Amino acid sequence: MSEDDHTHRRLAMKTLAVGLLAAAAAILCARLVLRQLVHDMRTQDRFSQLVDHLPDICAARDPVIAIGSSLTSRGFTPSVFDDRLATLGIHATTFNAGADGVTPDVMLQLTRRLRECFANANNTPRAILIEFTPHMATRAMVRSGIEGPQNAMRLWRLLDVDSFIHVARRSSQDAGHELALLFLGGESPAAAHTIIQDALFPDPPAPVERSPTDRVGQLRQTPEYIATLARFQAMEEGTPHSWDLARRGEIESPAQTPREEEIWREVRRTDTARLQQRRGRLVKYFDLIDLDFEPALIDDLIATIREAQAITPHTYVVIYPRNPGWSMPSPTGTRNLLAVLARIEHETGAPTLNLVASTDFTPDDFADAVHVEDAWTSGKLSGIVARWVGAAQTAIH
Amino acid sequence: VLFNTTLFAGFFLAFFVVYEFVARSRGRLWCLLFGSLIFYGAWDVRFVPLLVGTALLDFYIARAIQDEPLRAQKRRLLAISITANLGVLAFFKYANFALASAYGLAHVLGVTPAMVPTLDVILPAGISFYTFQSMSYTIDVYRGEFAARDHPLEVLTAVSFFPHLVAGPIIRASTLLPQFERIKPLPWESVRRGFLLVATGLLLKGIADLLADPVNLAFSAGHHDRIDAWTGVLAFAGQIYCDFAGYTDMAIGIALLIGFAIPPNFNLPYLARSPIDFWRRWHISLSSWLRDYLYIGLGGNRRHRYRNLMLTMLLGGLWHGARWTFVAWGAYHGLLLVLWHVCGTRWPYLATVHIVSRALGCIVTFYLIVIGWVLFRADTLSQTLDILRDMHQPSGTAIAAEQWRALLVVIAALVLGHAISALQRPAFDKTPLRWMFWPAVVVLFATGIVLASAGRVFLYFVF
Repeated sequence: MSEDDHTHRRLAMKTLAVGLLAAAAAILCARLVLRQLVHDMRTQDRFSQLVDHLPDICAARDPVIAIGSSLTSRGFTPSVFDDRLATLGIHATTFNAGADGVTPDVMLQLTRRLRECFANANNTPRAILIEFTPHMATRAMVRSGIEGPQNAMRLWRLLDVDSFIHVARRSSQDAGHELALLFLGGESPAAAHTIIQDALFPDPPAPVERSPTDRVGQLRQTPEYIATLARFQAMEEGTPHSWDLARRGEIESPAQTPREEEIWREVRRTDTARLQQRRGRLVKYFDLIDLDFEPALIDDLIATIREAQAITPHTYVVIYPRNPGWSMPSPTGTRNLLAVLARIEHETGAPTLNLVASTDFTPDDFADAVHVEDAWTSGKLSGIVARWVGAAQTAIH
Repeated sequence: VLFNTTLFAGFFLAFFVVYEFVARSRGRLWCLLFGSLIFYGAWDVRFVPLLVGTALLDFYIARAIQDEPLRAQKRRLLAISITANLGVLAFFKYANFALASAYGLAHVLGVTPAMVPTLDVILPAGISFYTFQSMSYTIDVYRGEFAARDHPLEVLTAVSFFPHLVAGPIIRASTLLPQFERIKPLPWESVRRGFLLVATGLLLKGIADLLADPVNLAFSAGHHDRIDAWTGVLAFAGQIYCDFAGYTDMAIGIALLIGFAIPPNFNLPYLARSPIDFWRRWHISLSSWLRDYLYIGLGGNRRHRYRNLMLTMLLGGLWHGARWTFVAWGAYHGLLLVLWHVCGTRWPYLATVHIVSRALGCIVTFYLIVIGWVLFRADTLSQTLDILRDMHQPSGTAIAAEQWRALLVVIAALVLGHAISALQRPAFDKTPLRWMFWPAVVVLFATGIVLASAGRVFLYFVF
């Protein structure tokens, strides 16, 4: 071995040792900082709290679990669903397992965990409802990475070796991110990045201010609205996503009197500037209208349905209604959606309730461009889903 | 694979162990080549043959040039190499641009084809960088600056050298090939500097990502308040500098860790005193490549100097991407360079080094560069004009505190970006603060990890 080779080896050993030490020290520092920055975001996440409560859910009597995104968390009321099922002679304890921004890859891991949990509890659910939110499975959504940090942390919580292999096969980048979370104790730098960015560059005020003389402007001045808004902000700033087992994830309206409720709805619904802004964001980052689907996420959705079918044959797929005024798919979007539904039908045989073009809903039933606010409609959506599930279950029995 | 990901960290660790402990001399070259091809193939394995093919073609043409006694024949061979390299680049990068432009022209002439024709091609990562690198090899052999290599291994490794493969800097064959002849260990000081560059690069990338929000806001549709427009455009100036300088710092640092020296690509560009000075400080590897292989090839300062300058900058603009805004950006910088050269010739006293004129030069140059960035970032020429109008219109409403704060944050980020780059200078190493080196590396690295946004793509990957 030449002198150069000796020097090379010595230098390489030194470089490796110093590099590993520096990296370990940096990771340790980063973990401490991230824990301060991101920990609350993770622990207050409704999804995270749901995972903590899985053993309770699996031990419940005749449980029904509605898995999905914010469309489920805001649009599906377990108590209404239970009452409607009861009128059909079916008794169940329903849980709203929807959380903001959940994508099919996260739903898949959650369903795997549910399967394990039900097996441990030696229990079988009465039904599992899988919500398919079309715009949460588009290429645009993946590219934008908006839901990435939160969902990466959720995945990390649910990941085991099999799941990691599944993630790695689908995307080496995602697998790398999960590995990073492993080193960083589950706190995502991407989430920290979002928090810091939001602090440095807060959202600008709404571009169009309401005139204090128009109707909405006047309603905004009423003491009832001001009080409701204060409660709403307190709810948001407190623990907005808390998973309360007693309420099973039902959404609470900040309005406390019928008059407050009436003002609240009118102001929220007629804020066209806000609706336009939100719709524009959904079109840009989620491809809300044309729905160019990401094949890997559709594969994950189908795997989720199969996983749920392995828990119970009473697995149903629900596609929630679209706001007719703001979010109806284009002809291309409809074609893409129908193609996915046909694939789901073909590959899983799961019954599907497609409410996209349902005439039961008007723009007034929606809190914004996409979310049905079940609390405002006396549980209209939960009632429709209950009738359909009830009919399907009765037919089977 | 992006440098700021766990995946790359794992790849590099495995590569380093194999490279340093298993291989020897020539074996190290093989190791480098395979490592680089795995690195590139991880992005899209289908384009590995294109990369290898490009390098092999230039290897064989360079050998033929060297063996060929006739000057005219040598020139023909060189023309084949340049045509092949530029042809590949044109097909993958500019075919759709050319088709869309032809469609637009037909539309203007009153002919309206049914639809815009497009080719379904993916732009291979780093193609603009590695074709230029590969071309420089044949040109250097043609010019007799060094001998063609006997074995393709060195040329293949130089072109595919992973630290600079996908987003530069553009390293000429003449820089790397002599280092490949006998791979010698670099002194510990170089390795130390490598660690510092990786850490600062990671941090710069984090700062660049933080600036994305105001940039996206300013360059979104609709009109913006004057202060928001300025905030967005200054944020882009910071973002593109921190992003690209961060990437190249990491590339240079990684190369140093495995024993190769790559020249710097940036030298505090926003402190430039003139547009001429700016191009000596910004993306130095590209500007010097264009100067040596294009500008001088066109005749340089000997004849048609200003025409050569304009052509070089136009093509430099087009190199950045297939869009008319890039062409306009190149033309804009060409005009600035011509103007400064004309003024410098007519009024040489303007170039005085008086501190006032230096400061004024910095401010004027920075303003002109920032205006140029609007062209660079905007999607269309009309959007450029809209943003320039927004930047220079009187403010209609009172400026909110949040707007001032955002502007100050952006300015602070710009200053911080340059301060971090200044920290890398060897002079810093000679100060009494030398003991702080390793703690600083750890803190910079940790901050980079915290600010990293899950492998957000580097801006220069798209070029």
